Formats: sequence, structure tokens, C-alpha cells
Amino acid sequence: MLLLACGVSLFTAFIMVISATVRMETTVRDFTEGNVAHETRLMAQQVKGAYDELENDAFVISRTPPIEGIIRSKKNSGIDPLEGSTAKQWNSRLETIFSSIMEERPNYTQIRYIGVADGGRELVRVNRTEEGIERVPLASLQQKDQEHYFQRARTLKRDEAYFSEVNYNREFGQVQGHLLPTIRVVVPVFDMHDSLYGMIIINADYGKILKGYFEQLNVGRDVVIANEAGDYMRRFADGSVSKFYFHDAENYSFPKFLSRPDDSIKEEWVSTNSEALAYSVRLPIKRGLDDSHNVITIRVPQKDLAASVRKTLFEGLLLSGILVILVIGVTVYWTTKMTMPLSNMTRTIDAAMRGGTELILPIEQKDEVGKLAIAFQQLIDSRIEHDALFSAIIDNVVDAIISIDPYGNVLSYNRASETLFGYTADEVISKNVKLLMPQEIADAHDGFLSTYRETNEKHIIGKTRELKARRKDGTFFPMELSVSRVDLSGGSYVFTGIVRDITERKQVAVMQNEFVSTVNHELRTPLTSIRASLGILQRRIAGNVDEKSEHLVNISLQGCERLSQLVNDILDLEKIAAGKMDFHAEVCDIGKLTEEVVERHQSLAEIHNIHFDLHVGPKEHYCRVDPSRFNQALVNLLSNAAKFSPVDGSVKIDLATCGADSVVISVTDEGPGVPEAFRKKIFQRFAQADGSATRAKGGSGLGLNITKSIIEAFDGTIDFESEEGEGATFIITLPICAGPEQQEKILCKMA
Amino acid sequence: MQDGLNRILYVEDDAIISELAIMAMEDFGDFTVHHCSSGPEALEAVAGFGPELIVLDVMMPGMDGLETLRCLRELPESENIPAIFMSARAQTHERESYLATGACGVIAKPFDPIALPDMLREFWAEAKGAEPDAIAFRKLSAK
Repeated sequence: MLLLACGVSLFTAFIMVISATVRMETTVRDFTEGNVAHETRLMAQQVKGAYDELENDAFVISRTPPIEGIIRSKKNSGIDPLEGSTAKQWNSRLETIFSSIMEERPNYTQIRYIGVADGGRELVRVNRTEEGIERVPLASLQQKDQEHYFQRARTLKRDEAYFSEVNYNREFGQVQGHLLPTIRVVVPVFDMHDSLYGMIIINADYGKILKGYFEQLNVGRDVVIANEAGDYMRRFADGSVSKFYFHDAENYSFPKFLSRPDDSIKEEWVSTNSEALAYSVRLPIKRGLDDSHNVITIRVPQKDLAASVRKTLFEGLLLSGILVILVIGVTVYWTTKMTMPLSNMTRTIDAAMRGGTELILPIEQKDEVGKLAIAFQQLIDSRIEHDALFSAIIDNVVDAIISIDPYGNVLSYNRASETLFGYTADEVISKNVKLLMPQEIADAHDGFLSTYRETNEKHIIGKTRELKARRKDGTFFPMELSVSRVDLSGGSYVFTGIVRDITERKQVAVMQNEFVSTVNHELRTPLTSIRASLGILQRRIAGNVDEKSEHLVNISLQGCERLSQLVNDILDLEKIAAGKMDFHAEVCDIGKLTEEVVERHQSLAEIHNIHFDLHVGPKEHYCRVDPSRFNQALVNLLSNAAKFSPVDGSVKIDLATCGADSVVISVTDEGPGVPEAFRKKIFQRFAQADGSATRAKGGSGLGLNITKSIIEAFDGTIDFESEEGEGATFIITLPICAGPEQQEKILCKMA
Repeated sequence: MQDGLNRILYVEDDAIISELAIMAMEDFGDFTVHHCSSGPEALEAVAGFGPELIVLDVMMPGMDGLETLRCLRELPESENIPAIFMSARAQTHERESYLATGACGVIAKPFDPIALPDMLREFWAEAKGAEPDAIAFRKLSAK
């Protein structure tokens, strides 16, 4: 369970990381690219700042008082007409200004004031040398009208500035001294007549400017700043800075990745290959008369990009990993805390169930587990109590109760079973129940069980059977076995068998049979003698003795009749009670049968001086009865009716149908009726209405009971209607069945 | 006699009953009765006596009535003589089982001695009239 939870957590985390990785890679790539673009733009702005600064400084200088002061004094033969300073004084003041600016701007290498007259002679010049800032003396000033920048700057208007190309500084028309890539800004100076008087020129070490910016950059960035001409300077990813490459230098080569797009107006572009990503920003430079531009490119190797992606991913993974581990840890901790007592409980319960050890649950615990334990303990206690009660009952039952599974293995075996079979419970439980059977039954038993499992065909289930059982010592005893199926939850079932030792009952039954048989014979033999003797005597003395003697013989004969009838009835009762009364049921026309019975027993009517009034009708009604038993039942009713009828009375026998499926035979007499108090027990054994009147009629009191048993054996019913003093009607209702002809038809149809 | 039934072989172990039955048969039926008190005795006597009807008690010690009749049927002298059982056990089904052995009638004990001769005559007449088919049929249907 826990493992599963951990697995699921890990799996989820894994999936999340993978999907995040995929998304993050693009995001990070975009982000890095954006970053590079930003850095490039920033760089471009800084480079532009350098140009602005140069221009700005030049304009500021051009507006300082010494500029005009020099013009005024020069035009007024060396003396400023406005405030009297000499040209030399003005020059000195301008030198001071130049020097202080140079102090401020370490990249500046020269600041000059050049006049257009006299071949472009320098008026004031301050240099930066290795020793410091140098004011160049008048004698060392040069003529610059041959310089390209001078030529270009002559055309400048007021407030225009001109940036030179980057090239080496030239003195006296020659490249010399330190080879510094130099950029120059030139702003024009006009006199009071608005004609060009001169120009302010600031030289700056271009390489140094760029280096300054390169140093502010992140390590790992490969930066190239190139101008329109193709001169460039490069800072490598390791922080080292190249020299300034001039496009017209020997061995010049332009880095491949700086290839420009065809559309040169484009301000920014990216070029990517498998090695690196390069972001370029075009920085337009207004060179006064000529427009120019620089291109600033930052190049990031793909591996660095990937590294940053990887770094981000790694961080993501690490974070997810930590989270997952944390979650799993917390989960494991809590589940363990939750399930530990539960699994402890489970183990305790298991052990208790298996080993019967005492059940100790953590009922003192104050949390939910404790509550659960209490609830469980209560349940178990009530269960145990219930089970104890139940097993006490089972164990104290006289009958053996054995339950088996569908394969015949014994599941339970009560104490009575131990006594009965001689095996202890331990010897039988989980063994096959065949152990308790004689060989012939045991052989067939597996077959019965498998047939039942497959087809549900019952052999003994739900019935009570008398079978032979086998004891441990190998002896056998007759048992009565009732097997029932007990359905358990989940569709399984067991069989429960109740075994009763019927040895004694069998013996009693045998004895009883013998007794009845003996009594029957032993009673009848003398009865036969008496009956025969009396019969012969009656004939012999007829007319020869007094009436009283004859009457006595008659009474004796009647007594004999009653006695023999009683013996017959008792015999029948015994058979019915033992379920041994034979019925040979056949389909009979019940009307015809009734007719025959009544005709055959006309003597009954004669004896009692009544007559039978029979209404059967010609229609045939078929019922399934045993003719001789039906005869016995009907004769009982006829005999009763005749007995209780007044002299010359009539007994009506009617036959009618009741609905389509039953026939009713009624026997109605005109006798005294059934007394109220007797009605309830009229069909009971030895039931006779009290009163000398009825007693005098004779009879065993068994007739109606036997009649009822017989009729019920034919699936019929018997009832009566009576009002005291108004006679009684006994009603037999029998189910109609198909007659022989119809049965034949049915058979034909079936065939 | 007029109806031809005269000689009866009567097999009964109970002395009193046999005395009374013989009395009834001789006094009220004018039959010539030869009484045997057991089955074997009857088997021995039947040829010599030459009865027209055999009346047998069922419950007798040793060879019972049914067995006796079976044996009598095996003897050529008595194979076709009608036989009647007298029994204390003469309820419907027992009656049927007796008839199934080929007897032509069953008389229940206790019997009415006055009516006894007439009953014997009736059964005998019926058997004679129906013979041999009726007996053969009874034999068949019994199986």
C-alpha cells in the first residue's frame, strides 16, 4: 500500500518534471535569447552614450568664452577688445579647460582648437602622454588641412558635429607613436560674421572606450562591436579583449558569425547555428554629413545556452525531487502512524483467530484507532458471547451436528458427534466426512457432492433419510440424517447434517411391529373362536331357548363385531402412523366407484333399517385414488350415517363437481347431528361424542380419523356441516384428473 | 350336492377354530371336510381325499398357507383345485396378495359361521365358472 503510494508519487513527479522540462527548455531558450538581446541593446546604448558624450563635450568646449575670446583677440591684433585679454591669455585659459576635461575623461587623447586659416593650424592643443597631460607649445602646433576629417568638417553647419572614421592617430600627416585606434569628434566654430573660423576636435581612444564597456559585461559573453567599415573589436567569452582590427589591415578577417542580413535597415537580428546564438543590434551613428552605423553583436555559444537551460532544469528537478521526497516522507510517516496500529490490530486479530489467544486491542489509545479498537472489541465480545452461546447450544444438543464444505471436508463437529461416532473433533475436523460412512456410501459420496456442485441435483439435501453410519471402532449404527444447505455470504455454502442415532427407535419399531402383529393374531384367534361359537350357538338355540338368552347371544355377537372392527382400525392406524399404509392409486371414475361401494354395502342400510339415496349422475369424473381405500373411507361415512339415522330414515349420497378441478361426494344423514362441543375433535382418534345415545351406537372412534388420513393421501379434503338435531353432511372433496381417454390423448400429443 | 361342491380339504393349525369351522361347514353346509393341521399334512392327504375345494389358514407355524398352496399347485392331483384362504390378516392388500397366489377367495377371521358355507359355495362357483381362464388371468395379473 505504502509502496504503491510512493510509486504513484514518484511517477507523478517524474511525469511532471518531464513535461516541465519540455516546456521549460523552450521557455529558458526564449528567456536566454531575450536576455542576450537585452544585453546587446544595453551595450548599444552604452556605445551610443560614448558618441553622445564626445559630441556633448565638443559642443560644451565650443561654447566656452576662450573660443570667442581667441577669435576676438586674433581679429583685433592680439588684444580682446571686449575685456582686454591677450590672445595668449585666452589660449592659456582654453588649455586649462582642455586639461581639466582631459582629467575627467581618461579616454580622450587630444583636444584641439584648430583654425581654418593658415592651413588648418592648430590654435590650442592638449595631449595625453605617458607622463600626463601636455599643453602643446605654440611652436609644436601643426597644420591639419590635409586631414580627411578636416576636409569633411569644413562643410559643417552650426550645431552639427562630425565623427571621423576610426583610424590611427596621425601626427604631421603620418601615423606614429602609439598605434591607437582613434575616433575624433569635430564641431565647427563660427565667428561673429557667421563664417567658419575653426573647429574643436576631440580625439578619443576608441579601443579604450569599448574596453571600458566590455569590462562591465558578464563573463561568458562573446561581444563584437563593428563599424560600418568593418573595423571591429571583440571581447571573448573568457573576458579577454582583442585588439582593434582595421578593415584595411593585413590579415584582416571578419568573424563569420557577424554576417549581416541582406536588409541592412533591420535594427536587430539573431543568427543561430549549431554552435552559437548571435544577437546583433544596429546602432546608427550620425556622423554629421555621413550617416554611419555600428553593429553590436553578442554571441552566446549553444553550450552555454544549453547550460543555462540545464541549470534551470536541474534546479527544477532538484526542487521536484525534494518535494517528492518530502511528500513521500510525510505520507510514509502519516500512513505508518495511521496503519501501524491498524496492522497491529489485524495481526492481533489474526493471531487470536488462529491460535485462540486472548485478543488485546489498543483500546486505551485516544485517537480514532482507539475508538475503532473499542468498537471492534465490543463487536468481538458480543460475537464471542453469541458464538459461545451458540456453541454451547450446539454442543449440548443430543443430536450430532456436523457441517462440511462443498467438497466434503468437515468444518464443525459438535460434542454429541464425538459421543456418537467415537472420534474427537480434532480427529475429524478438516478431514473428509467419508470417515463416518460405511464403505458403500463413502464410495458414492464424492460423486453426490460433485454432481451437486455441477448440476445442483440433490441427493439427500433438504430430506431426512435413514442411513447407516460408521463409528471409529468400525461398528455401524442406523442413523437418521437431515442435510441442509447453508448459504454463506459471497455465494459460498456449506452443508449441515444433523445425525440422530435411531438404533433404539429401530428396535422399538421392530418391537412395535412384532407387538402389533402378535396382538393382532393373538386377539383375532380367540375372537374368531368366540365369534364362530356364538354364531353356531345362535343358530342352534334359535327358537329353543327363552328370548333373554337369545338376546344375550346377540349382544355377545355385536360385541365381537365391534371388537374385530376395533382391531382392524387399530391396525390401520398403526400403518398410517408409521407411514406404511399402502396406496395403490389409479385413475378411476369416481361416480362409478361410489355407486359400487354403496351397492356392495346395502347390508348396512338393511341392518339399520334405513335406505341409501344415491345421486351420482351419468357424467364421468376421474380421480386418482386407491379403490379399496376409497371404499374403506366411504364405508366409514356410510356406516356412521346409517348408524345415526332414525329408523326408516334415508342417507343421501350425492356427487357433484366443484369448479373444473374437483369433485365433491357428500353423505347426508337425518340423525341427531354433531354436537357443538364435539365438532372440533371429530376427526381425532378415539373421538366419540359423549352421551349414552351415541355410545350405544358402537364404533371405535377411529373411523373418521382413518377416513381423513385416506382422503388426504389422495390430495383430497374432508369436512362436515351439521346442525344439532338436523342431521349431518360429510363432504369429501377430491381433485379431478384427466381420464384414461384424455390421458391417452396427452400421451399421443407428447409422443 | 346340487351345485357340486362337497369335499373340502381344510388346513388349519388352531384346534378350536378348526373345530368350529368344521362344525359350521358340516352342520350348515353339509360338506365332507377333511381337516389337516399343517401344510405337509395337507400335501400328503390331498391325493387320497380328492377334494373339490381347499380351504387354508394363512398363519401357520412352519409351512404357512401360502407356501402350502404353492406346493399343492405343484402336485398334479391338486393343481387345479380351487383354493380359499381364511386369515386374521385379511385387509384389502393382504387379500389381494392372497388372491395373487391363485386362490379364488379370501375369508376374513373372525368369520360368520352361518354365512361360511354360502361364501365357500360362491367363491367355488365363481372359480369353476371362470375356470380356467379366470385363474390364469389372476395369476398373470398378480405378476
